[in-house]
Amino acid sequence: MIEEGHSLAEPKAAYGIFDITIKGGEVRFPEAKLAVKSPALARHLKGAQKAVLFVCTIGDGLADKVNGYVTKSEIARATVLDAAGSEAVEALAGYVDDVIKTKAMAEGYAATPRFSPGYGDWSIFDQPKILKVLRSDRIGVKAVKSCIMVPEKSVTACIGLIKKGQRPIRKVYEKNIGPLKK
Amino acid sequence: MKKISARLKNEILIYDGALGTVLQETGALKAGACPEELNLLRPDVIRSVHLDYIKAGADIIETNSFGGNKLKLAAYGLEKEADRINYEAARIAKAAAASKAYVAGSVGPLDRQLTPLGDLSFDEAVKIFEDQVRALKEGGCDLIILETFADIKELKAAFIAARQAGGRIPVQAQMTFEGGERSTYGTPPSAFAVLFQSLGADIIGTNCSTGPKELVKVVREMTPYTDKYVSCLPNAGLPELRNGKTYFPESPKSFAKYAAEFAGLGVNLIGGCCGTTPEHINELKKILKNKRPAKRKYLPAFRLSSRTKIVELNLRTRPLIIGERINPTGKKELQEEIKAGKSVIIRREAIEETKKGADILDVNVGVPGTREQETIVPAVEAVQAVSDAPVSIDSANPAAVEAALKEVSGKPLINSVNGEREKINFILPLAKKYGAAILVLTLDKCGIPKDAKARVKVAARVINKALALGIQKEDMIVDPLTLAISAEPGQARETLKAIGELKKKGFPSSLGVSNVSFGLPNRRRINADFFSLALASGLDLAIINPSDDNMFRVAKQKKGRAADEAGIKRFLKAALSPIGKASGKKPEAKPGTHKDVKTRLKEAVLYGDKDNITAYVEEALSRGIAPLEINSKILIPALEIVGEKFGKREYFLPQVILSAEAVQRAFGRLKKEIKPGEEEDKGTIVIATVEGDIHDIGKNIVISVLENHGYKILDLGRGVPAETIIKEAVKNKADIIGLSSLMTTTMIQMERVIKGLKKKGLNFKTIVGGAVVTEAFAKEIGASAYARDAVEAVNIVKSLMEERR
Repeated sequence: MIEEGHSLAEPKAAYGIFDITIKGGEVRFPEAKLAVKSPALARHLKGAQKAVLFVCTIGDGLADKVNGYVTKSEIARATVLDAAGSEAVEALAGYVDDVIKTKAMAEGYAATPRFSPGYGDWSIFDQPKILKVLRSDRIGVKAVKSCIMVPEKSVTACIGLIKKGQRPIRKVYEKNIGPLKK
Repeated sequence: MKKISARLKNEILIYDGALGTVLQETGALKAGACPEELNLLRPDVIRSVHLDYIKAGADIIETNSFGGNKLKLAAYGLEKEADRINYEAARIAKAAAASKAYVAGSVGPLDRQLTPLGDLSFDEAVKIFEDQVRALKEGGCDLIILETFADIKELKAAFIAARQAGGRIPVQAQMTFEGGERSTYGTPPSAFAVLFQSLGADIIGTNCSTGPKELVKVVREMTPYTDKYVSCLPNAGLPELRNGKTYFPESPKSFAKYAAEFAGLGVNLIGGCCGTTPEHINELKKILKNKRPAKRKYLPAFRLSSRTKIVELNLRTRPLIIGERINPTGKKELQEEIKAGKSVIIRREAIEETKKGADILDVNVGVPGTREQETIVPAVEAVQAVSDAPVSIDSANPAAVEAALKEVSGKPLINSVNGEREKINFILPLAKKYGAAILVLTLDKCGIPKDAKARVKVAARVINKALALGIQKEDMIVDPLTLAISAEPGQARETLKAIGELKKKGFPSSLGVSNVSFGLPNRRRINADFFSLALASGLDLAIINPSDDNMFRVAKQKKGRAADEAGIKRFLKAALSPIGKASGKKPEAKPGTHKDVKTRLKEAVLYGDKDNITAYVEEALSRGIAPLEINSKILIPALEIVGEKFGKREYFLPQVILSAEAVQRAFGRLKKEIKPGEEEDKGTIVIATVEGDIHDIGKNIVISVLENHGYKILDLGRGVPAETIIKEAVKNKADIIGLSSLMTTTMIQMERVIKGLKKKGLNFKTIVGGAVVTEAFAKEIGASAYARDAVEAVNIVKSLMEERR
């Protein structure tokens, strides 16, 4: 069953890195023309200069199969396969998270844990805006009117990036090449 | 100045150290500025760093062009300056070197992911790298260094570009491995070395990572798989933050200590990466003075790789199994899937074949009427996504072979090339360019030669052409072809003989074993017997169906039967004689063990045995137990036990659902016996997932459990508007309306239904549930009840019904 889930998953993800400003419980992404009113998210991103938004999905193949089982009254199979799908997309989100963290570290940033719409006071009504910013149609994810994502097994999240200490300037080379022009 | 390749034969050459971190320290490079732009703005600073490294003893200096590809420069609005930036990078270095040092043109990753990880195509990547390499070459570089790559597919693109644009300049390919074990994308040093050995990189190496100590591990893992020069450019440890300042932990002295160890491992080029300074290189020079690289040992062997592992043919692994199931011939479903551009079956087959123990996965998507060069790409992608086994590209279409070669993140096998001129002309150069191994079929345009000697001759012709193109001898295997013994029994002998002849010449052999039994009954036994003979003759690889356990048993025995004349005769006689007693079937699996059918029925419910429950019902009926008694005295009480076990957390949701499914089957059978009217009317429930919500697995579970308790259920599905729910409830004279929703954005729809009922003065009972729904919410919106799960729903529905009566 779990293997079937594995073979039905078509993992895809898209992300974007944005400068952010945090003020009075609101997080702004100026380049994306996006403002998120969520004191919980603002607290979570405290100290970050940048934030990564990402969306990932395992596609709709698995959901189709789940519905297929339901039609055949194989509810047990449907349930287990559905659960496998939920685990798969969570694992995928974790993987994307890891990739972003590693990249951020290499570039001198520390990354906060990921935070998703629906956690705390971050309304999932923001879901369509995030998807639009990420051009999620590239990977086949959209939001329906009730702000639920389709395919159902999709995750969006935000990771804050905090710049680590600047490196010291060593002046040894100045004696060779003279003072630097400003 | 001597050619660099000539000097590498006897010397260890010393690379310079970091450029980026040193430039930051000079202050010339402002935070957030483009390091490569300094080639245009401050050539004096760049030159001064180069001179310091040469003075410190570097034999090779790197150009300031690591991030000089168009994509990265575009981030600074400098893509139009790309050619000039790279050209100047080479010129500044060349002038500083003044024939005292070699200049390596530095090429780093694009910082954008290739498909399927990202959206940059392989061809686009090659094009971008080509532009950079061309400018570096024109500026006068002596070699090209591709460094700090984490994605082996991107490095492959860069290497192909460097060969195409660089002409004959040596190319040095380097990856970076986290903690000395794997690259960010999962490639171990061994898999990297295997691919770049066959791609023919001049120098294979590693740089950056977490410090020199970890790179000792990397070098140890790489060197057994290559006879190319090896390079190692560690950084000065991982940067640490102390009192707000960044320090690299390895001092010049501690750093240089490792150099002796690298020399002892046979490393030919040693230098530094991030955090190293001219002082570090000076220490290196002192320690390596008059040291020659230790001799390394490289054992040629047939090897393939995937992104994450290598597969090697040796005494321990022989025979390697090539899984043959991803092939649409005679498989209608797979053909349809390939036509539709999907890959569910392909992924499933790949997972199963790998689990069964296939070492290599053959990928064939040849369906008439489809464009194979398009369908093979998603197929290869799908296989690589779910399996770590290397891929065998099975196609007769050169365009499809090339498309797949670009997609593969490792060293694949091309299946196949043969003695026909077009095949040789198209396929061999592709194998060379993309670093693939090849499978040589011993046939040509005259067909399959009848005897072993002639077949080996065809193979020799192809092999000689391949060797002339620079393909390594160990990258070739020969398939001397299995023919159906039903048509020509004597051919089995020639095939086996050819295996032996090939072995003598040092070529491994492979066979598609199951062809042997074509047109005969009892194929599995014949296949296994022939496989055994072939192994005894020296077969190294076999293309088989990995789900055939018989074949695996034979493969594991290793020794096989004697492949002498007597053995072959015995095989042919057994295979071709008409089958007699072989058709005896095993008896069916025994039914439940308990004698008493009532107990068995009860157990079938408790354990959710839906396969056997109908048979038990049948048996109970034949013993004269009344249908209603079976229902109310056995099935329902058993279901109640399931509910109790769920309450006590002995059972979990899956067991409850399985039991429900089993009971449903039993009911299905009992219904035929119960006369209309005899059935008790327990009530009707209309149930739906509310408008805007697409989640209905929970609702379906509730339905399957409720149905077993005798309620008539009308399932309206998901995303159902309030008006429709009310209309259906009225039409069907429902007793209860059940509503489900998963999300905070949709649970408000429940309220609309209940308000609508009130407005119309309708008196249905309502029960609500779903992930975010709570008892308090249910009260607030005025629902009759809230149920936490399906089992609780049964009890609540029962009491709601009683209230209604």
